[in-house]
Amino acid sequence: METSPPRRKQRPPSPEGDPDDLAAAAGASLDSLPEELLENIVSRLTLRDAVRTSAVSQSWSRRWESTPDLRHYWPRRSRPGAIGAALARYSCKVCQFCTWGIRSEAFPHIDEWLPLLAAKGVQCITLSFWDYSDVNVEYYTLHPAIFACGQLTSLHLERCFLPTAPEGFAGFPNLTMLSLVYVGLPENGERKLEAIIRMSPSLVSLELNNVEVTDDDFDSWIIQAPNLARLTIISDIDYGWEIQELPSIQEANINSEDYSIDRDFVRLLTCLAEVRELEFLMPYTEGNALEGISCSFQKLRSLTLHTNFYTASSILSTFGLLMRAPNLKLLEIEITYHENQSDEVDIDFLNALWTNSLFANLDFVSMKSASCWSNEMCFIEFVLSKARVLREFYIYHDDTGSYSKPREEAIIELAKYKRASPKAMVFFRDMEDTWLYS
Amino acid sequence: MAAATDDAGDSNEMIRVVSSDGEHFEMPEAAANLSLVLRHMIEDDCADAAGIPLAVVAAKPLAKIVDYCTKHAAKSSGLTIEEAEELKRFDAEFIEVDTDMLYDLLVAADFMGVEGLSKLAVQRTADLIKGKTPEQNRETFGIVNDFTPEEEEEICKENEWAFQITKPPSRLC
Repeated sequence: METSPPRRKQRPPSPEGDPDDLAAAAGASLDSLPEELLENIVSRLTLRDAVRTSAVSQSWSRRWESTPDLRHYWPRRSRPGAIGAALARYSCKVCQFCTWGIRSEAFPHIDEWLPLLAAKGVQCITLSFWDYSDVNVEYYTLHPAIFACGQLTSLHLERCFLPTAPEGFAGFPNLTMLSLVYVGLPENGERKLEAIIRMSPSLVSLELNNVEVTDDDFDSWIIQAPNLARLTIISDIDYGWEIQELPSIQEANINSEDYSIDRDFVRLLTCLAEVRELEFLMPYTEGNALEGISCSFQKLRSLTLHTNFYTASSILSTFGLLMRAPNLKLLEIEITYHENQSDEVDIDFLNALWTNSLFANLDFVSMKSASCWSNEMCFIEFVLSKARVLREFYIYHDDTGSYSKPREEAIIELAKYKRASPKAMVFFRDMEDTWLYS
Repeated sequence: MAAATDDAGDSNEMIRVVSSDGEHFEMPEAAANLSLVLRHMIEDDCADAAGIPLAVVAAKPLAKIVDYCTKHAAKSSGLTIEEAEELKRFDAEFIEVDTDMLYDLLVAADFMGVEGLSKLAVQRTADLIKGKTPEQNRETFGIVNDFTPEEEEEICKENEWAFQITKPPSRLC
């Protein structure tokens, strides 16, 4: 084991020694230790424990205030006055400031925290305004000082409004993680978000989860983050974002209930061609949404698809992706949009889509909310007949609607399907069971 | 002192060290290398038969440190999960010491630049502080309360929230 260099300057060992040091080392009080060591000890404490040491003795009364690396974690229902007071007293850089369940009475205090945090070079901020006892509370608009926190490496905001960045906003040069969950943006929000992302060139992880762009009418805008490894975009409506090629992308989750009518899905997925893990809500389109896709997802190991098998075009879209992921090991399908099966396909239709690399490495499949109508059953039969190394296939039957095929019928049918993999096991469960196992 | 094991590294050479109170100890070179100070001394050819003098480390903590380094050097790279867990158990037992020994280890590990041991001793001290009242901490660590009652009250009032430790965290206020 290599020892790494010490954080502090090392004194050379001197044969003569210092009798004072000796005496100190043999002393019977923690106070005999050098200040640096004491600070190191305090920095391992929670903020509460660290602050409580202030009442031990005079020499301890201000020690926590000058101890670097104390994490400012404030659980739900912390008193806002206490948070502000502790922040004001703390004289070091704030490495982490996290508070959850912020309630409306704390709003005036936050306007004081953010300028303080900016002044103290804060690196990580988590502000969550979810308060489950008070869901109707108004959204709070953050103080613009959030944009003065130029040393941020991580910013996670939940359920608030982001103000417009002031003139001269210098960007977040060190920001690697940006996560906005139920965050509202001001007028022309998509342009503002575009600018914030563009001015954070170190971004590795970006989550836009139900970000609200208030305009009805938005232009397309571009997420420019060349180093992105993780991307999550979840929203009810599509607000016109586009991505560029993401050469370092590893994980992506694209899930919008209502994609723009003119969104180019071939282009979108081509930009994500390097992903290892992908979750994707397949659009519901008239024709094959991935018609003409030519890229290959060589690194894709794990795919979660929200799709269905009710129309020939949705089946073709789904296969458009599956056929280009030869190394896929794990496939999870969640059936979306319960409606009538308008096209009926048979096993020959699927056999015509067969390529030698399809399902070649598939190890695990699950299908959730399955109605077990003929097209779904056909897909299951097809996978079982082709996946040579498959081990487990879980079917979670949606028995809540009257539309589904009765489970007994489905089970009898499933038992007849040939399996290409000698190790393949098929499990039939009810949807409620997904709660048990997840 | 634990017996030095043969698989402690590529080099089988034993390094001698001398405590402030004149006691001699031996450990394999790989173990000595876990101390930044000893490593530099070895690299500078200062390790000889007379032993490297460690002026501020007394025999009692030095024996522990030699024990620690020997154990950790023997299990340095490519640990299996079981070995890593065994080492964790060793650490946990190793650091179950009284506060006097803990202070000695803190100072000596810091002085000798044994990073793993420094972290272990610092974390142990922090763990002893956690969840205690100021009075309990004074008792544990031999600290004299030099506040006047007024000063103490004032300090507690300044950060009242931190002293409400008897209330359950889930309490709604």
